[in-house]
Amino acid sequence: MRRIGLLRAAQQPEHELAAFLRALSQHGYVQGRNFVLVPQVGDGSTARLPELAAALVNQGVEYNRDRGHGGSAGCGGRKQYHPDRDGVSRDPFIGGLVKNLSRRAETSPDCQHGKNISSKVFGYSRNDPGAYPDCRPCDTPDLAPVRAGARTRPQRRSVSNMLHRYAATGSGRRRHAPSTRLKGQGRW
Amino acid sequence: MRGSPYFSSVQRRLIIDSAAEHRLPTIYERRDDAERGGLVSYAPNVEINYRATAEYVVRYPGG
Repeated sequence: MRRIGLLRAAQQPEHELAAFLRALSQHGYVQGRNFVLVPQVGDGSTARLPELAAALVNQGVEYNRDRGHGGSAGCGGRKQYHPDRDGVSRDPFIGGLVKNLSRRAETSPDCQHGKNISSKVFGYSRNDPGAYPDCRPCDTPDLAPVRAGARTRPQRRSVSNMLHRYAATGSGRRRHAPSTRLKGQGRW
Repeated sequence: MRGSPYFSSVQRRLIIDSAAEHRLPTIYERRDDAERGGLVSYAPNVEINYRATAEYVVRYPGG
């Protein structure tokens, strides 16, 4: 059963929480059946947010912590969070958890699923979750759509994009992977 | 116009009542405040944010 944390500096209106739970239920997440909501709600003081966040994480809420914020790189595990030890900012609400969720997918250097091409290249199988059943989330998901227009921009010709195209073309149009491509065989 | 620090969320009832008592036209930053007696609010629909949050919560642990 998953544990979803709720961090708030102050009490929120009931209908907002209800909207959140209703949206979760539309995706098959029903409270008490396949997830538990773990709230940490303060008395209105933002100064208590680091303490609340630390308590929340130490309660076993699942999250991925990405590299660059101190400590070891995460790979889908449960980790104990301590504001004095982890993160650049001591306020996990501002500089830690929330910031992490806004980062693009990256492959963790310590990831043990590096042999899986989908996890190594894409961070996780964001394009087709069913295509890579062995791939676990290795880092934060790609939240690029949060940024306006992210989906509409032309994709950069990066190695990951080329490998994705390679994986998507199938046997009929399969081309050489960049790592095995010989010089002068044309552009992707 | 009332800002949106967290402390004012805690003292919401007091602020609304005080503004009404002193007949001070106040624009609130949450719809709830207007529903609780405030004059008017101008704010985004927070429920949409929570629905979007749920989308990402589903994507995040599920992959």
